[in-house]
Amino acid sequence: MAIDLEALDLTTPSKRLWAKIGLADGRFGAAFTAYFKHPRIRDVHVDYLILNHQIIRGTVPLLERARDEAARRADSDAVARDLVPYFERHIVEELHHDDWLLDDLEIIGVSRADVWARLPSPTVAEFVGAQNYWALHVHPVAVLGYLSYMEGFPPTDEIIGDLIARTGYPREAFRTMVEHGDLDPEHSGEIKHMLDTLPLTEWHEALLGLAVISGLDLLARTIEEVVEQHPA
Amino acid sequence: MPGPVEQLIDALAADPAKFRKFKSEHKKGFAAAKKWLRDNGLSSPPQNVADTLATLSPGELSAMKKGRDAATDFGVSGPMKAQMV
Repeated sequence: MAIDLEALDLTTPSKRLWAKIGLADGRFGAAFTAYFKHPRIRDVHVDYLILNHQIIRGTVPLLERARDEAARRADSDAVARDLVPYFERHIVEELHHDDWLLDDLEIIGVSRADVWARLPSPTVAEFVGAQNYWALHVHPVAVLGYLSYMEGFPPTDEIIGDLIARTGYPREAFRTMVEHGDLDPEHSGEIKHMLDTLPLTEWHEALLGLAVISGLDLLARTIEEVVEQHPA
Repeated sequence: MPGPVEQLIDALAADPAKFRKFKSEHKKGFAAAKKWLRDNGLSSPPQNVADTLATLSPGELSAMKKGRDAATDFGVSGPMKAQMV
């Protein structure tokens, strides 16, 4: 478990959530590093992108459902009411990111049909399905937890440059990573702002923590599965 | 071999009564929590870690422990993190 002791600060809801992420993201870090440092990165990268498509294609539908659920609760729930306009904006911001991944994969020789034909693992279904459960059957604020870590670790220029060099794939095939490296810091700031301005109670924060801790674990497992398909 | 913080998470997650007691001692302040941990043979983490642990619900602590127990050891060092959504 990697714990960034210096990052811990508990004075606001977003900082408390990130303190929990700091205690829980070790497995995710180890899994991502195993992918990133894999000696057969050219092969592993293809499956990693397909995995990301399997996950990302569920994000806009999740946001739409969360928006609808928040709107349904809005009359009697101040947190839900304040989430509706955020979800409306963010749905637009996340549109077609899954298509970017299909474009990237096509450049490196994987057709759209091949990506869609690949069945996701049960772990992917568990991960994406869990986000829908938290959002629809507990409270839509849980989506902010999912987005916190999904947008909270933007791919750096260093990581992207290294991947381009080691995979031998053209820079054009890394559009999704490059775009997220640019967009995610701003999105991450918006999520923190939302967390710190919503009238959250201890219950909401516990839900966010539970969704984040269990979600990071599932996300890590999906990456582990990709790495394990490619013995070094 | 788990580090002291991981050992503490494991110990508290394994015993809900201990975790409740840790949280109640922590409400009195870090010094009280630290003393209670030492008196009970548990390692005392830095204050910011103890403060974070005290914010967790039993479910969150349990989820944290389960994730760590099941993690694959790839033997990699220098963890890096990146994700897209």
